[in-house]
Amino acid sequence: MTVEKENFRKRVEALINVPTLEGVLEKIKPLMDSSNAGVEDIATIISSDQVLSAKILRVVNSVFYGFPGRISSLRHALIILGFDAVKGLILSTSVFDAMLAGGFYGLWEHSMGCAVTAGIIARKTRDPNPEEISIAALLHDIGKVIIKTELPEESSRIDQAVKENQISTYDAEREILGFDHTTVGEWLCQGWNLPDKLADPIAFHHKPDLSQFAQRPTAIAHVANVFVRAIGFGFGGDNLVPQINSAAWEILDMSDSLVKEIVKEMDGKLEDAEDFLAANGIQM
Amino acid sequence: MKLAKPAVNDRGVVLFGTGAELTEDIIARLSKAGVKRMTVEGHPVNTDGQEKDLGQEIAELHDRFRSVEKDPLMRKIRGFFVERLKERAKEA
Repeated sequence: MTVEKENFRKRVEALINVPTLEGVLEKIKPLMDSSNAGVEDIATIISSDQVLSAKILRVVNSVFYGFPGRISSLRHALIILGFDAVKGLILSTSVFDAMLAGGFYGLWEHSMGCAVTAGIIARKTRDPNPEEISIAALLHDIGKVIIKTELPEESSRIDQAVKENQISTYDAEREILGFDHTTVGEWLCQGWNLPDKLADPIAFHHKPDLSQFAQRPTAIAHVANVFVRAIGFGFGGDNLVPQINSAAWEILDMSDSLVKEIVKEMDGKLEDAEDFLAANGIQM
Repeated sequence: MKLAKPAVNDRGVVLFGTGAELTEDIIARLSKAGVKRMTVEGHPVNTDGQEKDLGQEIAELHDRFRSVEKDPLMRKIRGFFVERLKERAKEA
Protein backbone atom coordinates (compact mmCIF):
# COMPACT_ATOMS: atom_id res chain seq x y z
CA MET A 1 0.00 0.00 0.00
CA THR A 2 1.38 3.41 -0.90
CA VAL A 3 1.16 6.59 1.17
CA GLU A 4 -1.46 9.07 -0.01
CA LYS A 5 0.83 11.58 -1.68
CA GLU A 6 -1.23 14.78 -1.36
CA ASN A 7 -1.96 14.16 2.33
CA PHE A 8 1.70 13.59 3.03
CA ARG A 9 2.61 16.70 1.08
CA LYS A 10 0.34 18.73 3.38
CA ARG A 11 1.99 17.13 6.41
CA VAL A 12 5.45 18.04 5.10
CA GLU A 13 4.37 21.61 4.41
CA ALA A 14 3.00 21.85 7.93
CA LEU A 15 6.39 20.73 9.26
CA ILE A 16 8.20 23.73 7.94
CA ASN A 17 8.04 25.82 11.07
CA VAL A 18 8.17 22.97 13.52
CA PRO A 19 11.82 22.63 14.56
CA THR A 20 13.05 24.57 17.56
CA LEU A 21 13.34 27.73 15.51
CA GLU A 22 9.78 29.09 15.26
CA GLY A 23 10.38 32.48 16.86
CA VAL A 24 13.48 33.39 14.93
CA LEU A 25 12.17 31.97 11.69
CA GLU A 26 9.01 34.00 11.86
CA LYS A 27 11.08 37.15 12.19
CA ILE A 28 13.69 36.28 9.60
CA LYS A 29 11.53 34.92 6.82
CA PRO A 30 10.01 38.28 5.79
CA LEU A 31 13.45 39.91 6.07
CA MET A 32 15.01 37.28 3.88
CA ASP A 33 12.26 37.57 1.32
CA SER A 34 12.71 41.33 1.24
CA SER A 35 15.32 42.91 -0.98
CA ASN A 36 15.76 45.79 1.49
CA ALA A 37 16.89 43.67 4.41
CA GLY A 38 20.48 44.26 5.44
CA VAL A 39 23.10 41.93 6.86
CA GLU A 40 22.90 43.81 10.16
CA ASP A 41 19.11 43.25 10.48
CA ILE A 42 19.37 39.53 9.89
CA ALA A 43 22.52 39.07 11.95
CA THR A 44 20.94 40.91 14.88
CA ILE A 45 17.85 38.71 14.86
CA ILE A 46 19.73 35.44 14.51
CA SER A 47 22.27 36.50 17.14
CA SER A 48 19.43 37.07 19.61
CA ASP A 49 19.08 33.29 19.70
CA GLN A 50 22.38 32.04 21.03
CA VAL A 51 21.56 28.39 20.53
CA LEU A 52 20.65 28.95 16.91
CA SER A 53 23.75 31.10 16.35
CA ALA A 54 25.99 28.41 17.81
CA LYS A 55 24.32 25.76 15.70
CA ILE A 56 24.73 27.77 12.50
CA LEU A 57 28.39 28.44 13.22
CA ARG A 58 28.93 24.77 14.03
CA VAL A 59 27.55 23.76 10.65
CA VAL A 60 29.46 26.52 8.86
CA ASN A 61 32.75 25.50 10.40
CA SER A 62 32.15 21.83 9.84
CA VAL A 63 31.25 22.21 6.19
CA PHE A 64 33.98 24.73 5.55
CA TYR A 65 36.49 23.06 7.84
CA GLY A 66 39.78 24.61 6.97
CA PHE A 67 38.15 27.82 5.76
CA PRO A 68 40.86 30.47 6.20
CA GLY A 69 40.48 32.15 9.56
CA ARG A 70 37.32 30.23 10.33
CA ILE A 71 33.92 31.84 10.48
CA SER A 72 33.47 33.11 14.00
CA SER A 73 30.42 35.37 13.80
CA LEU A 74 27.06 35.35 12.10
CA ARG A 75 27.80 38.69 10.52
CA HIS A 76 30.92 37.18 8.98
CA ALA A 77 28.94 34.14 7.77
CA LEU A 78 26.28 36.35 6.19
CA ILE A 79 28.83 38.52 4.41
CA ILE A 80 30.86 35.61 3.10
CA LEU A 81 28.07 33.21 2.26
CA GLY A 82 25.17 35.50 1.36
CA PHE A 83 21.52 35.43 2.48
CA ASP A 84 20.42 32.46 0.42
CA ALA A 85 23.17 30.24 1.73
CA VAL A 86 22.45 31.28 5.31
CA LYS A 87 18.77 30.53 4.78
CA GLY A 88 19.81 27.05 3.71
CA LEU A 89 22.08 26.89 6.73
CA ILE A 90 19.23 27.66 9.12
CA LEU A 91 17.35 24.79 7.57
CA SER A 92 20.43 22.59 7.87
CA THR A 93 20.68 23.22 11.62
CA SER A 94 17.20 21.76 12.09
CA VAL A 95 18.16 18.87 9.82
CA PHE A 96 21.25 18.30 11.95
CA ASP A 97 19.09 18.24 15.10
CA ALA A 98 16.59 15.85 13.53
CA MET A 99 19.35 13.54 12.34
CA LEU A 100 21.02 13.42 15.74
CA ALA A 101 17.73 13.10 17.62
CA GLY A 102 16.73 10.22 15.37
CA GLY A 103 20.17 8.59 15.58
CA PHE A 104 20.70 8.94 11.82
CA TYR A 105 24.43 9.47 12.22
CA GLY A 106 25.32 7.67 9.00
CA LEU A 107 23.05 9.96 7.00
CA TRP A 108 24.56 13.06 8.61
CA GLU A 109 28.05 11.81 7.77
CA HIS A 110 26.95 11.13 4.20
CA SER A 111 25.45 14.63 3.95
CA MET A 112 28.57 16.26 5.36
CA GLY A 113 30.72 14.20 3.03
CA CYS A 114 28.67 15.40 0.06
CA ALA A 115 28.94 19.02 1.21
CA VAL A 116 32.73 18.77 1.52
CA THR A 117 33.08 16.96 -1.82
CA ALA A 118 30.72 19.33 -3.67
CA GLY A 119 32.83 22.22 -2.38
CA ILE A 120 35.99 20.55 -3.72
CA ILE A 121 34.43 19.86 -7.14
CA ALA A 122 33.04 23.41 -7.32
CA ARG A 123 36.42 24.96 -6.54
CA LYS A 124 38.36 22.65 -8.84
CA THR A 125 35.98 23.41 -11.72
CA ARG A 126 36.20 27.14 -10.89
CA ASP A 127 32.57 27.60 -9.97
CA PRO A 128 31.94 31.08 -8.55
CA ASN A 129 29.74 29.85 -5.65
CA PRO A 130 31.35 26.83 -3.97
CA GLU A 131 29.89 27.62 -0.53
CA GLU A 132 26.31 27.70 -1.83
CA ILE A 133 26.85 24.43 -3.66
CA SER A 134 28.23 22.87 -0.46
CA ILE A 135 25.11 23.87 1.44
CA ALA A 136 22.86 22.50 -1.31
CA ALA A 137 24.78 19.22 -1.10
CA LEU A 138 24.53 19.24 2.69
CA LEU A 139 20.75 19.41 2.34
CA HIS A 140 20.37 17.11 -0.68
CA ASP A 141 18.90 14.20 1.33
CA ILE A 142 16.64 16.29 3.57
CA GLY A 143 13.65 14.35 2.20
CA LYS A 144 15.10 11.15 3.71
CA VAL A 145 15.11 12.76 7.17
CA ILE A 146 11.46 13.73 6.79
CA ILE A 147 10.50 10.22 5.61
CA LYS A 148 12.38 8.66 8.54
CA THR A 149 10.82 10.93 11.15
CA GLU A 150 7.30 11.25 9.73
CA LEU A 151 6.78 7.80 8.25
CA PRO A 152 8.70 5.47 10.60
CA GLU A 153 6.76 2.36 9.67
CA GLU A 154 7.20 2.85 5.92
CA SER A 155 10.81 3.82 6.56
CA SER A 156 11.46 0.42 8.18
CA ARG A 157 9.90 -1.27 5.17
CA ILE A 158 12.13 0.77 2.88
CA ASP A 159 15.23 -0.32 4.85
CA GLN A 160 14.04 -3.92 4.71
CA ALA A 161 13.47 -3.76 0.93
CA VAL A 162 16.97 -2.31 0.45
CA LYS A 163 18.49 -5.24 2.35
CA GLU A 164 16.35 -8.03 0.97
CA ASN A 165 16.18 -6.96 -2.66
CA GLN A 166 19.63 -5.34 -2.89
CA ILE A 167 18.12 -2.18 -4.36
CA SER A 168 18.82 1.49 -3.74
CA THR A 169 16.90 3.52 -1.15
CA TYR A 170 15.61 5.68 -4.00
CA ASP A 171 14.07 2.65 -5.77
CA ALA A 172 12.75 1.20 -2.51
CA GLU A 173 11.05 4.51 -1.64
CA ARG A 174 9.34 4.62 -5.02
CA GLU A 175 8.22 1.02 -4.62
CA ILE A 176 6.86 1.44 -1.09
CA LEU A 177 5.72 5.07 -0.97
CA GLY A 178 4.97 5.72 -4.62
CA PHE A 179 7.34 8.72 -4.47
CA ASP A 180 10.87 9.35 -3.21
CA HIS A 181 12.95 11.62 -0.96
CA THR A 182 13.74 14.07 -3.78
CA THR A 183 10.03 14.88 -4.11
CA VAL A 184 9.68 15.33 -0.36
CA GLY A 185 12.76 17.59 -0.39
CA GLU A 186 11.23 19.60 -3.21
CA TRP A 187 8.03 20.20 -1.16
CA LEU A 188 10.13 21.44 1.73
CA CYS A 189 12.09 23.78 -0.55
CA GLN A 190 8.86 25.20 -1.95
CA GLY A 191 7.54 25.82 1.55
CA TRP A 192 10.76 27.57 2.48
CA ASN A 193 10.98 29.54 -0.75
CA LEU A 194 14.52 28.36 -1.21
CA PRO A 195 16.17 29.69 -4.37
CA ASP A 196 16.57 27.36 -7.35
CA LYS A 197 20.32 27.04 -6.79
CA LEU A 198 19.56 25.28 -3.48
CA ALA A 199 16.23 23.69 -4.42
CA ASP A 200 17.24 22.09 -7.74
CA PRO A 201 20.13 20.02 -6.31
CA ILE A 202 17.74 18.74 -3.62
CA ALA A 203 14.96 17.96 -6.10
CA PHE A 204 17.07 16.59 -8.95
CA HIS A 205 20.28 15.11 -7.53
CA HIS A 206 19.20 11.70 -8.84
CA LYS A 207 18.07 13.06 -12.21
CA PRO A 208 20.26 16.13 -12.77
CA ASP A 209 19.21 16.46 -16.41
CA LEU A 210 15.76 17.58 -15.18
CA SER A 211 17.18 20.71 -13.54
CA GLN A 212 16.12 23.77 -15.48
CA PHE A 213 17.39 26.63 -13.34
CA ALA A 214 20.54 25.36 -11.61
CA GLN A 215 22.10 22.77 -13.87
CA ARG A 216 25.65 23.19 -12.69
CA PRO A 217 25.02 23.10 -8.90
CA THR A 218 22.73 20.10 -9.48
CA ALA A 219 25.37 18.33 -11.56
CA ILE A 220 27.95 18.95 -8.81
CA ALA A 221 25.65 17.66 -6.04
CA HIS A 222 24.89 14.59 -8.19
CA VAL A 223 28.56 13.76 -8.80
CA ALA A 224 29.47 14.51 -5.15
CA ASN A 225 26.82 12.00 -4.03
CA VAL A 226 28.31 9.36 -6.34
CA PHE A 227 31.89 10.04 -5.19
CA VAL A 228 31.02 9.98 -1.47
CA ARG A 229 29.24 6.68 -1.91
CA ALA A 230 32.23 5.41 -3.88
CA ILE A 231 34.65 6.26 -1.09
CA GLY A 232 32.25 4.73 1.46
CA PHE A 233 31.94 7.74 3.78
CA GLY A 234 28.80 7.72 5.93
CA PHE A 235 25.65 5.85 5.02
CA GLY A 236 23.02 7.20 2.64
CA GLY A 237 20.61 4.31 3.25
CA ASP A 238 22.28 1.68 1.02
CA ASN A 239 25.81 0.88 -0.06
CA LEU A 240 25.31 1.11 -3.82
CA VAL A 241 27.20 3.60 -5.97
CA PRO A 242 24.66 5.10 -8.39
CA GLN A 243 25.25 5.59 -12.10
CA ILE A 244 26.61 9.00 -13.08
CA ASN A 245 24.31 10.88 -15.40
CA SER A 246 26.17 11.52 -18.65
CA ALA A 247 24.66 14.99 -19.16
CA ALA A 248 25.80 16.07 -15.68
CA TRP A 249 29.27 14.66 -16.31
CA GLU A 250 29.50 16.59 -19.57
CA ILE A 251 28.45 19.85 -17.87
CA LEU A 252 31.38 19.55 -15.46
CA ASP A 253 33.79 18.58 -18.25
CA MET A 254 36.51 17.28 -15.89
CA SER A 255 39.74 15.78 -17.19
CA ASP A 256 41.01 12.51 -15.72
CA SER A 257 43.81 14.32 -13.92
CA LEU A 258 41.33 16.75 -12.35
CA VAL A 259 39.15 13.87 -11.14
CA LYS A 260 42.24 12.27 -9.59
CA GLU A 261 43.05 15.54 -7.80
CA ILE A 262 39.47 15.71 -6.50
CA VAL A 263 39.61 12.12 -5.21
CA LYS A 264 42.90 12.84 -3.44
CA GLU A 265 41.61 16.03 -1.83
CA MET A 266 38.39 14.28 -0.81
CA ASP A 267 40.41 11.65 0.98
CA GLY A 268 42.17 14.24 3.17
CA LYS A 269 39.21 16.52 3.77
CA LEU A 270 36.83 13.71 4.66
CA GLU A 271 39.32 12.59 7.26
CA ASP A 272 39.13 16.12 8.71
CA ALA A 273 35.32 15.95 8.62
CA GLU A 274 35.51 12.63 10.46
CA ASP A 275 37.64 14.30 13.14
CA PHE A 276 35.08 17.09 13.41
CA LEU A 277 32.24 14.61 13.81
CA ALA A 278 34.19 12.75 16.48
CA ALA A 279 34.86 16.06 18.27
CA ASN A 280 31.09 16.51 18.34
CA GLY A 281 30.53 13.08 19.81
CA ILE A 282 29.61 11.30 16.57
CA GLN A 283 31.66 8.18 15.98
CA MET A 284 31.95 6.76 12.48
CA MET B 1 54.12 12.31 20.59
CA LYS B 2 53.21 15.16 18.22
CA LEU B 3 49.89 16.37 16.87
CA ALA B 4 49.41 15.49 13.19
CA LYS B 5 46.33 17.72 13.00
CA PRO B 6 45.20 20.71 15.06
CA ALA B 7 43.36 19.88 18.28
CA VAL B 8 39.93 21.54 18.12
CA ASN B 9 37.24 21.83 20.76
CA ASP B 10 33.56 21.03 20.21
CA ARG B 11 33.00 24.52 18.78
CA GLY B 12 35.70 24.08 16.18
CA VAL B 13 38.19 26.42 17.88
CA VAL B 14 41.82 25.40 17.36
CA LEU B 15 43.49 25.02 20.77
CA PHE B 16 46.77 23.42 19.73
CA GLY B 17 48.37 23.48 16.31
CA THR B 18 49.86 20.75 14.13
CA GLY B 19 53.28 19.64 15.33
CA ALA B 20 52.70 20.55 19.00
CA GLU B 21 54.35 18.14 21.43
CA LEU B 22 51.81 16.36 23.63
CA THR B 23 52.41 15.48 27.26
CA GLU B 24 50.03 13.76 29.67
CA ASP B 25 49.34 17.10 31.30
CA ILE B 26 48.50 18.78 27.98
CA ILE B 27 46.27 15.89 26.91
CA ALA B 28 44.36 16.17 30.20
CA ARG B 29 43.96 19.92 29.76
CA LEU B 30 42.80 19.60 26.16
CA SER B 31 40.33 16.95 27.15
CA LYS B 32 38.96 19.26 29.87
CA ALA B 33 38.65 22.02 27.27
CA GLY B 34 36.29 19.96 25.13
CA VAL B 35 38.73 18.23 22.75
CA LYS B 36 37.30 14.77 22.18
CA ARG B 37 39.77 13.48 19.60
CA MET B 38 43.38 14.09 18.66
CA THR B 39 45.35 12.82 15.67
CA VAL B 40 49.01 12.16 16.36
CA GLU B 41 51.92 11.56 14.04
CA GLY B 42 53.05 8.07 13.11
CA HIS B 43 51.19 4.90 12.28
CA PRO B 44 47.84 4.47 14.02
CA VAL B 45 47.96 2.82 17.41
CA ASN B 46 46.12 -0.35 18.33
CA THR B 47 42.71 -0.31 16.64
CA ASP B 48 41.54 -3.65 18.05
CA GLY B 49 41.96 -5.29 14.68
CA GLN B 50 39.48 -2.89 13.05
CA GLU B 51 41.98 -1.42 10.64
CA LYS B 52 41.29 -2.77 7.18
CA ASP B 53 44.03 -3.95 4.88
CA LEU B 54 44.32 -2.70 1.30
CA GLY B 55 42.88 -5.87 -0.22
CA GLN B 56 39.80 -5.65 1.96
CA GLU B 57 39.31 -1.96 1.17
CA ILE B 58 39.55 -2.64 -2.58
CA ALA B 59 37.12 -5.55 -2.31
CA GLU B 60 34.61 -3.37 -0.47
CA LEU B 61 35.03 -0.64 -3.08
CA HIS B 62 34.30 -3.13 -5.89
CA ASP B 63 31.25 -4.31 -3.96
CA ARG B 64 29.87 -0.78 -3.73
CA PHE B 65 30.21 -0.46 -7.53
CA ARG B 66 28.47 -3.80 -8.18
CA SER B 67 25.34 -2.37 -9.81
CA VAL B 68 27.23 -0.10 -12.24
CA GLU B 69 30.35 -2.14 -12.99
CA LYS B 70 29.40 -2.73 -16.63
CA ASP B 71 29.40 0.98 -17.42
CA PRO B 72 32.76 2.18 -18.85
CA LEU B 73 32.64 5.60 -17.12
CA MET B 74 31.85 4.02 -13.75
CA ARG B 75 34.67 1.48 -14.21
CA LYS B 76 37.05 4.36 -14.91
CA ILE B 77 35.87 6.24 -11.81
CA ARG B 78 36.25 3.09 -9.71
CA GLY B 79 39.81 2.89 -11.02
CA PHE B 80 40.58 6.40 -9.69
CA PHE B 81 39.37 5.41 -6.22
CA VAL B 82 41.36 2.15 -6.31
CA GLU B 83 44.44 4.13 -7.33
CA ARG B 84 43.93 6.50 -4.37
CA LEU B 85 43.60 3.58 -1.95
CA LYS B 86 46.91 2.20 -3.23
CA GLU B 87 48.63 5.58 -2.94
CA ARG B 88 47.36 5.99 0.62
CA ALA B 89 48.63 2.55 1.54
CA LYS B 90 52.07 3.54 0.23
CA GLU B 91 52.01 6.85 2.14
CA ALA B 92 51.28 4.98 5.38
